[in-house]
Amino acid sequence: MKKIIYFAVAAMMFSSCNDFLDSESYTQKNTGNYPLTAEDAEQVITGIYNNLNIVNANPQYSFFYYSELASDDRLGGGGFNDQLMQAEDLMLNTGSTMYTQFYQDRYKGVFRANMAIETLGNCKGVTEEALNQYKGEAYFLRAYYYYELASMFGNIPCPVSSVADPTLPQISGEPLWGQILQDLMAAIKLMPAKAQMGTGHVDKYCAQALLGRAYLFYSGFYNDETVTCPDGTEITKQNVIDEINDCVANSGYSLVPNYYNLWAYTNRCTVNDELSAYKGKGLVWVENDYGTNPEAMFMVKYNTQPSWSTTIGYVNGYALHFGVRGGQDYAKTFPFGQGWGAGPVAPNLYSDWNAAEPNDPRRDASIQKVNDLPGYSYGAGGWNDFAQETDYLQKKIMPVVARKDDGTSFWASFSNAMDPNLTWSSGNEDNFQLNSINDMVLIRFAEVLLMQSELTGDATGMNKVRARAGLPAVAYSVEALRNERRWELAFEGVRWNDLRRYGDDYAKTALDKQNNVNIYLSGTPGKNNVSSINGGYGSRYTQTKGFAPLPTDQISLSAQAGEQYKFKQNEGWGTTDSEYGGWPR
Amino acid sequence: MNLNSRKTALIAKICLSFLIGGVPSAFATLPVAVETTQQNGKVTGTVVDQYGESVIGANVLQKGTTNGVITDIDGNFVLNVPRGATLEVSFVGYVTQSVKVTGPTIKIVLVEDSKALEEVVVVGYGVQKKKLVTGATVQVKGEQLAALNTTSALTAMQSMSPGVNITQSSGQPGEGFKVNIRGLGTVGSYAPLYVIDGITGGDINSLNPSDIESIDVLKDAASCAIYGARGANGVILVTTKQGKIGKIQVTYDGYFGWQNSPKMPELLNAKQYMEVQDLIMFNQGGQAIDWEGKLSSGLYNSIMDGSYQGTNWLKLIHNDDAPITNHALNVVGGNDMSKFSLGVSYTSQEGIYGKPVQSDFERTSVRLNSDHVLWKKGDLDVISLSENMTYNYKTKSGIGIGNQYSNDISNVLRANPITPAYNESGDIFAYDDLLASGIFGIIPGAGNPLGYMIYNRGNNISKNHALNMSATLKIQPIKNLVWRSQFNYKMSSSSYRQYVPKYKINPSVNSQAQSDRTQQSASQGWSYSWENTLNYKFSIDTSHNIDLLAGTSIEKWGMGESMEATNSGGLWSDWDHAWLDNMKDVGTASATGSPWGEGGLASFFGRVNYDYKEKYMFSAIVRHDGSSNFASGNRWGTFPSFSAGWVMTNEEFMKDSSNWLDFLKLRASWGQNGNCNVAGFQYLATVSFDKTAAYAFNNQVNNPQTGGYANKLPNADITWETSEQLNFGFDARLLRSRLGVAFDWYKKTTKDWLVNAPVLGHYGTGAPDINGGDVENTGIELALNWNDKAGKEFTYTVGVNMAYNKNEVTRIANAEGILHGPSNVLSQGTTEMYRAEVGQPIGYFWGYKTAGVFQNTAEIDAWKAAGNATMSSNPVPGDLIFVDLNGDKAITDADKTNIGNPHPDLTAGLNLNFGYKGFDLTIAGYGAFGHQIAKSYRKFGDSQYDNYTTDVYDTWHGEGTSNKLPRLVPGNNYNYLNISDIYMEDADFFRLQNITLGYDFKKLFPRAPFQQARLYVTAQNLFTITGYSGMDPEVGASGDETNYSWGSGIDLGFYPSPRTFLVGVNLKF
Repeated sequence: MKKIIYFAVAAMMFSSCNDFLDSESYTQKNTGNYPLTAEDAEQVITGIYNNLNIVNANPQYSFFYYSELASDDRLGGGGFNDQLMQAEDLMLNTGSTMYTQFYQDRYKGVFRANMAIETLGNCKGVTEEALNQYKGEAYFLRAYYYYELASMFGNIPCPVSSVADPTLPQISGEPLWGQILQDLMAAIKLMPAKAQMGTGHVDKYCAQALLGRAYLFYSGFYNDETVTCPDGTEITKQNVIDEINDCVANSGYSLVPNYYNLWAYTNRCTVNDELSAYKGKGLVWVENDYGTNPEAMFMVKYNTQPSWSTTIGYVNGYALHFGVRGGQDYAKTFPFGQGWGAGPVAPNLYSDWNAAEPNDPRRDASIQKVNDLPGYSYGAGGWNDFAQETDYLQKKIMPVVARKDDGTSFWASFSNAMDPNLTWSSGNEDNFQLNSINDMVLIRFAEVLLMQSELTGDATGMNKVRARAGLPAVAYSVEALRNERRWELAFEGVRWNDLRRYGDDYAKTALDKQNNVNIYLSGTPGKNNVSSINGGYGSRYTQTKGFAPLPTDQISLSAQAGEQYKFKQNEGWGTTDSEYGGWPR
Repeated sequence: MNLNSRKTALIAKICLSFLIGGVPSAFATLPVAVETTQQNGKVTGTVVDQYGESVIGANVLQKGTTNGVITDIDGNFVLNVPRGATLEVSFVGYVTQSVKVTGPTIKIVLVEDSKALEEVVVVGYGVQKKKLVTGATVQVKGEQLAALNTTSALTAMQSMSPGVNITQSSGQPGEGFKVNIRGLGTVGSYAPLYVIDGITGGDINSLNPSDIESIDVLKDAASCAIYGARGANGVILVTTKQGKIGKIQVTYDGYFGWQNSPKMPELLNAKQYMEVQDLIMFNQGGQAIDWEGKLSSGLYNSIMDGSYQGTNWLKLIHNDDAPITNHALNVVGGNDMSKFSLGVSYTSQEGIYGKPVQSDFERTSVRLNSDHVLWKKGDLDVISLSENMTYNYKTKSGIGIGNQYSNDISNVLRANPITPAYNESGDIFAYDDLLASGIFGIIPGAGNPLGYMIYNRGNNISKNHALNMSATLKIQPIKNLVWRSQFNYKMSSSSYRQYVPKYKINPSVNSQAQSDRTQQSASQGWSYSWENTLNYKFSIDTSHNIDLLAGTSIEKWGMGESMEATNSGGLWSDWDHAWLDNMKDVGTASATGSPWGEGGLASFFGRVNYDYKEKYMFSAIVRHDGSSNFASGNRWGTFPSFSAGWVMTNEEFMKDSSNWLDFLKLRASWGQNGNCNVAGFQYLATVSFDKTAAYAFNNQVNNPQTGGYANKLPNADITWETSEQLNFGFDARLLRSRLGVAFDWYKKTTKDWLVNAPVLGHYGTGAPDINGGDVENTGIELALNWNDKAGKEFTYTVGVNMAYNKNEVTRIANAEGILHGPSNVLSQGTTEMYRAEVGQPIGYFWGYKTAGVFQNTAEIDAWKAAGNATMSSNPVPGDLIFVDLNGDKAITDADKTNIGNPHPDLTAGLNLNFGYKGFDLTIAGYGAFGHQIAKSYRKFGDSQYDNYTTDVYDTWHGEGTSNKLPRLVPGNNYNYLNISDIYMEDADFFRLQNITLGYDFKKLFPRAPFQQARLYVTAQNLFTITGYSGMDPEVGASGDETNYSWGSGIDLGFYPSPRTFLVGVNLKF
């Protein structure tokens, strides 16, 4: 009997030690043991680039999209329930968390870069040169992500470590832009003098180009030529000129001889179709069959593995948003495919361009008159739901269709015609929402040439750009340079910050040109009479300086560590006047 | 009779041995034992109750043997027993009598067990006399459940268990329930802990109600404390039918029924639809639609001349008289050394919607429970061994019942009625037909929801096997000192297969499949637990009664794996051949696989129950739990509880009231429980390498480079949710125990919910779960039960219960004090409409209040002149008047407020039973009150061409026509897109769940060879009293169950529970 009791007691005392409760995840590593190898290092870098795709999943909230729609070159467009698109054009707010998604997503990129900068040194088996290239890429990407955040929100927390700190203050101006420039300088110093053309990786020269872009914005917008970085170093205009000159001279990047050949609608499967306006004109897209574009310095790369729930950003969401609104027959909108109709081209751009540079072939290479399409119908085809429709579409970032072998129907994207070996993730073959996978170029070498002229006041760079467009050389002038940037880089996400750095008056005047331009509402002609909605573009610009509202949820979250840490909303926001209530109908 | 029943019993035994492949050794000798006793004398006896009424069906057993009979209709029996033998006579509800046989005739008087008094309830690791229970528990007996003939025990429990809130998550067969006890205690997992035969975490819906002996619900913290870290949401203890000493009894229960939809909304027919669409265009100042010009003349003319009314898609998919059937066979028996209980059952149910592909549910279950005494010393069972085993197999095929993007009922409610379902050759009216008919010319997005349903959901089946087993060794070295060791094993496996053929209904990617596709997935895994307890019961001076329990438990789960693969390009194009082997498109194959994720729990626990002369009771429980879900330092938690009771009626000073008050017990309890049900590894900064972090360097578009990143912030401090609860109550029986009353008041505070509270965006990675929310539930529960006879033959019971609960969030650890709900719930383009917020109930509806509709421009001008705000800067007559709650002269989010609560304040149950001469009548009803539903049967956000219900005629269409619903507009509009109270409806309801009339033919044919032959008819869900306009006022859907299960009451076309008529039999041999 006693034995039984002993046994019972022994059994009851069984285990319960902590070992029994230790468990391990077999599907995830953790930061305690990662990254350690060369392969890990490559993955860590990949994870930072992946943020380009993440933001792409919700392009409508991104800085790129906002800067396009808010600029004087494009209106909002979209359907009447796409209030976001119109609100971005009008510089108004809709909903309480309008830009939260972008804000959170872009900071994910910053976090990944911070993590990489902190931990890449732990990786064994990587050559020093490769490690420096990786680190430089991390610095570049952190700078690029902050460039967008700082441009958009102005006054933001700026973590440069992976530690979560609820007490980080908002910073703006020199400390913030100094950090960006400091990171770019670090990237330039770290990365070897070796171009990564066509790979999707950035290189030293990309960092130089972005340095120019960031410096020009900061020095113009904040009216400050010499920047003191957080680490105490100073960056002068001459420092920037030196880097840009190095880039022009030594990078190996060059202009594509024919401007048209930069854009996907000149791809070989589309351009010679019987419906094409360019049939037989000898246009050859530089990226046909994954050809290397010698002008593309920094781009978003896409792939065939999108999934609705997680990785929709693997395909170009901007192209979808900017695509032709309404389920219109591809034969009637050829060569462009279906989309949501965001960002119709503002008629004032077309008329300005026509007046200033009537013979510029880039105008027709960049802007499509919808009446010149084979059979475009206004009012979004049968949808009959289109606000701020205009007579013009931009052509640079669009879904481009191509004919199928049957000769009658069309692929939603030419990529399927060009590469029969594409293996799409399940269910996504020939899907107009998921098939635009050609690169979206964010920095082109042409911009470097224009920056060189702008920084030095020497027209050489800009005249190279003009020469490529078949236009005669001009003498340098600020206005000529500004126009040149507008024509050359239209719809590539730079105009908005250009306007802002040219000064308030310049920006206001330019933006107000959109007032009362001709638009269509549900297919019916009307005027872009915005003064009843936002009081006029210029006045909204005066109130906001072009900064977007900080997401209100972030403001309330910031008070968690104490009221003294609470973020301040940007000026011009948070009032009833700044709310968009929908297009009046 | 005697011979007959013995024959039956023998046959049953033979059948049984056949079934289980051999009987336990105690039975093997049984026929021999019967032979020897037959040499002895015959005893004739009568069994009556204390009132002299004969007791029919009482068990008469020679003690220590299986020699026995059952009394006949007059209470008589005849049995061969040796003189001097002892007979044991037992019957449900009576105290078992042992009588020595002294002569050839014998009369035995059974005394009614003072029912509730000596009843025992299951309390977790043991049982307790109900009269001594000091916590708040409710017991539902298996026969009560079985009487309602429901597919799931939970449906039957709705009317019987106050404080247990059970809401169907869909009326589709085989779908689950949302269950919470005493209100939502968290926005995480609020489901109670289910313990089936001691095995935690089982699925109650897998059990056939006929397998259930009893369900005990532990509601207060003191009762749940023995389950420590998993007791915070209450505990539901299910005991399956156990073996019983006595003759082998075979019962068969079966029914067959017909189900139909209780209510169908009226949809516009083709002509009405065209008129309404024209009206909308007219309101907009547009042209009427050119129906005549655009529709094919055949279609147009047939609508105009009335020969074609259009398609009522809802009626089309209604499965008239959908069959439901259930068979359950139970065999139970045993002697004092060995007992067993065997059950085999089968249920099949078709859904009322989904024709021609249909929802379908089947369940087969087998249960074998047995107990064996291995070593008996005198009266003491020194060593005994028992096992429980249930196995079930379920298959389910269903239509889409999800959110607005995947809900077939919603699709058919919304589809335009012009489109015919089938073309002239009898095929689905698809792309070519739509094009030829001209419908695309008017409605570019027109589809065929029937075709869509057939193609996308017509071919799917999920199969699920589950096995629950336990073996228990009990050693009782001295009387009442029991060491018990129970080992539990649970395994389950499931598979899913789906086929989508190639089809094209319209050009939209969502309404076509360019190639066929097959998906197969499979998952299997197991868990185990081992529990050891030592229990000692003793008395001091016969007045101090002490019951001590100490135990340990370890549990490990998640030993399993899942795989899923999809491919297209089938060699055949049909469901039967839809296997991955037959799919040849190499390019489109995808496959995933993962482990389930192991976890474990280790525990020590103890309990002391003390009573003094059954007058003063006291109980203390403590449990110490360690969970693998937390970091080493935060793993262990201790959960104490105390409770006390006072049986006042046992006091001298209460003697005077004993003529009307039979029993009164006051109870009080306090305790703390935990909830550790949270995803693992929250304490680590894990790194993801999934497909979502890739980048396509070097144009590797098909195989982008994998990326890695730290996917969340670690929270090393993460620990339990703690629920603290105070409970006061009393149990009373009055008026000769005919009236029973149970009352409880409670206050339950759940602290430190594990919430995924938003973190600052600049942290740049996923938020960890933090202990960051509190909620308070306060409520009362009252159950009244009246049990009486009128005359000799008429018996009746009336049971009424109700529960009131108030839910209020008291803390959410972010500056806003809000956990946001999802957007795009009712329609594309709508913002968040429910949330959890401090000061409000969890999941309340958040939106604008409206104050009617602007009737004319003068009204608008006056409104504006008075400085009032409007939603649109240019409102027009027919627009809603949104209320500017904060008076800041603008309509903004700040004006949104609580416009409804999907969780009822009050639930009530009604149970009536009548018996008269073999007839029985059972009525069960259930109601819920004080809650709201958000309903929209059309997606007002993005399609103007959705159909309407006839409610459309109640919208504003001119001055004075409506002061609630705004003007109709094409597509979306601020009146509709801004969620307001126009979508809210009160959903109070009372449902007559069940009415059953039965008759036992044994009364008519007393000599028939069975104890019971009852035939019955049942109507379920016969009527529902409600003001709610939707199909079913019991809507447990949140629009996103994965992430927002705390939401509820979203009706986009909720699959309603059916109205059912059943015919059934109960046979007992």
